[in-house]
Amino acid sequence: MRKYLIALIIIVVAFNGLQNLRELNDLAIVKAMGIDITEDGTYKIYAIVSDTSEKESTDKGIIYEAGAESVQETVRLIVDKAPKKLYLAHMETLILSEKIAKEKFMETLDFFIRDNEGSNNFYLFIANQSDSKDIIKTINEEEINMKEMLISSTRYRGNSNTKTLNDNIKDMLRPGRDILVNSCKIVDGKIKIDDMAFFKDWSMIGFLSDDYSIVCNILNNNIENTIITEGENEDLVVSEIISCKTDMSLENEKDVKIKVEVKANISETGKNISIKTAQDTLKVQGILEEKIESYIVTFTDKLKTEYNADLIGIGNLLYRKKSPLFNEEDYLNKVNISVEAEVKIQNQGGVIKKW
Amino acid sequence: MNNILEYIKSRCEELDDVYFRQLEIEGEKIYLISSDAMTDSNLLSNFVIRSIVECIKNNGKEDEQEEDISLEEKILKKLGENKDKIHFEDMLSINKIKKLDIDKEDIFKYIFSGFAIIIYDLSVYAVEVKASLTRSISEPSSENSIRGSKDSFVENIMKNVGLIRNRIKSEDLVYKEQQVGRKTKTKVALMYVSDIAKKDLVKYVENKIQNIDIDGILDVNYIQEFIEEENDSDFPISINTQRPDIVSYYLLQGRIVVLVDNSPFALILPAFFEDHINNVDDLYQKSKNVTITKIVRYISLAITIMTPALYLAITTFNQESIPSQLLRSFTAQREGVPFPAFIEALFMIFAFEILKESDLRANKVTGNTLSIVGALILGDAAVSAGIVSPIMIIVVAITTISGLMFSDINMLNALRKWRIIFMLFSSLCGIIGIGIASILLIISLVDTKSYSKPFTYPIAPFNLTEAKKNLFGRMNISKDKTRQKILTNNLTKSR
Repeated sequence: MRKYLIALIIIVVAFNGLQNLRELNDLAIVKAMGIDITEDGTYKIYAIVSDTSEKESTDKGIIYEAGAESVQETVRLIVDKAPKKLYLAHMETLILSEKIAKEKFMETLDFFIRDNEGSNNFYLFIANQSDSKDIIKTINEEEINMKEMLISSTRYRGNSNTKTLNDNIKDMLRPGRDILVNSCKIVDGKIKIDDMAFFKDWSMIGFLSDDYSIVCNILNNNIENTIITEGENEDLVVSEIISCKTDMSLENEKDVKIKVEVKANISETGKNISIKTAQDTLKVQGILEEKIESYIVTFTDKLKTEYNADLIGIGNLLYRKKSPLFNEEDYLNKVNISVEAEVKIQNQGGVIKKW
Repeated sequence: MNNILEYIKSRCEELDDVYFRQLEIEGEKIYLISSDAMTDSNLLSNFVIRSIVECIKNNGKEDEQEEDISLEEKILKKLGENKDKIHFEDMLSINKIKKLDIDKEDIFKYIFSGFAIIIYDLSVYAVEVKASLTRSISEPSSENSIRGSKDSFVENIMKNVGLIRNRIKSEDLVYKEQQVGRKTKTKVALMYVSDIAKKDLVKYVENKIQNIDIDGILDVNYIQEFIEEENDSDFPISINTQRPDIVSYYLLQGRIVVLVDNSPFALILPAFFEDHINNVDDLYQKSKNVTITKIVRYISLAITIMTPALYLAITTFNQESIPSQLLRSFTAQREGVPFPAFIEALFMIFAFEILKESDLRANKVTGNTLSIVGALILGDAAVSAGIVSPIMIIVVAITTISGLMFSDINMLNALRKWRIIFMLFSSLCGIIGIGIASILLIISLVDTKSYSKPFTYPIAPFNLTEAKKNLFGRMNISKDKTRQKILTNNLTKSR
């Protein structure tokens, strides 16, 4: 009797799972999706579905498109055109048009956050100066892997981040923090990872300029590797940052102190720059420190005056340190920000190897 | 005398291989009975018949004047001994001679064991003139050894005992023989090292063997089924081996070995799960490097049980858990396959089982053809025909190959059963199903007792010293100074 009971329990538990049974042949694996919104507020969705009809899978997929009032409805309408149901768990890229990002950002993402099948581990892009449709078409035509592009761009240039939708939502839910989303652009028929779009209160305000994306990433501790250039012609110093650590601390309620520790290699120098002696190295370090500091200062000034968004989480710092300033509307303008950069040159690039 | 002869003749009416000979020398009748199949006619004629004839002739020359005395008296006289002490066997240059008590002993057992029966006057003698019916010692066919000794057991129990005695030359190595089987009268022997093996286990096995009442014992597995009758686990709780070095290794640990005449396999008991995974051959390799070998073995154990189940789980339930590229590749490969993945997997596993079984049964000539046709052509054709996906072939192949790491056929069968159980559960509820099946497997393993010892020792119950020694590596032999407490009370191995 007990045996049968155990068997019954096991069967009940086991068969319960059967509702999730899907054969691989029934899946239309969506690689990337682009969403546009028309003037009258209807969504247009373009989905790249992996073409698995060939025995060897190719990167080129099939684009299906549909339009309706809501995202869910639109996604479901694609079933009329595709032979299988869209499978979103392996989607890597979601491209939103600028209009959606500015007007209906959270409403659009709502579907993806709620969908129990989706993984929310995809990368979000804002289409800069073009429709999602064109970007999706270019991605498919050129067989571009946006994920790999983004990862290498973040790792070696530092003008983007590899935050997935989940990470972005986590950031959004933190008090005193506004988010940055990567953007992409079509340049000469190719996709380019462009300056990051910044958000305030869950809707997009605008795009950062290129250098500020890097500075912003330095301040958010998102840099692995990037290039900093100072001076021109004879005074040129180009250095490769190989590690960067930023520490933000709050002193007496309103003084924010930013300390950046940078390890760098010298990659190129002009005629006037000498790095033969220890003093020379110190001098170059000073030049770089100055450059980084000035970058950060101008960026924080811009944050206060122009962007008016808390992209580096100063509000979050105030909140964590329980500063009363956090409750005030324009706390950004009320804090004093001091910057200290410390550069250590690891490798001057001498011909004679030191080891 | 005639009574015995009549009795034997009456029982032998339909036994044309039993050979009768009557020697009539100087009026005395000596009868010789033997089985043609079991005796060496060379031995019989050169040592038995010639000895008798010569002995009598010699007697006749010396005692020509006393012609009226009987043959036995002549022999007696020649040996100069008392009649009470006389043994017929002293005449013959044969090692094993026994005077039979016909009321108590079965003459036919001797006849069919290769003895020649000599009936003279009222006495019956059995003289061993056994023909060598066994093959010579060769390399083990079912177990491979890279560095170990290359000899293996044969069908003759005495040769097998010799191979073990050759390695353990101690009077402590006990050899106890019993006769089992009403018709086959097979020799079943128990071997153990008396000061190492635990007495209660020896007693238990001895009793079990004594109580066997069956018409025939043809293989060591017959004995195994009797002494393991209470065990209903899928996994083998004793080790079958062909190699005397393995037997000696386990004997010195305090385990008991059962040998059966006509079976080239020895039964070692008790055995733990770990013994089936680990190989005695590890002892012949550098101890430091055995760790990786052992890890490979554990991984392949997991692979052989779980791979098809895991494949089913991730392709039918948990597609989100694998990299996108891989999923795309899987999907492309499965395109056009008409069956659900579970059916496809079952189909392939059964195809491989059929292939394996027929390969085992086929003779060597057809076996090669079978492998080529079966594995290469059939596999390739099945993929091109779109019946199965290439990835499924890979899955089943790696499963089967990993499984072959375990040489014991009983272990292989157990693994095969659990592979299918795992597949069943994973096809019902994906990764969670594998979890459920794993729990069932662990329950089944922990529930198993090997001769009242826990089968999963030294993992459950956990024994740190033993685990350190053997689980993920091997202790240097010079440092390993103790025996396992679970097997023996005599713990000191070396000082």
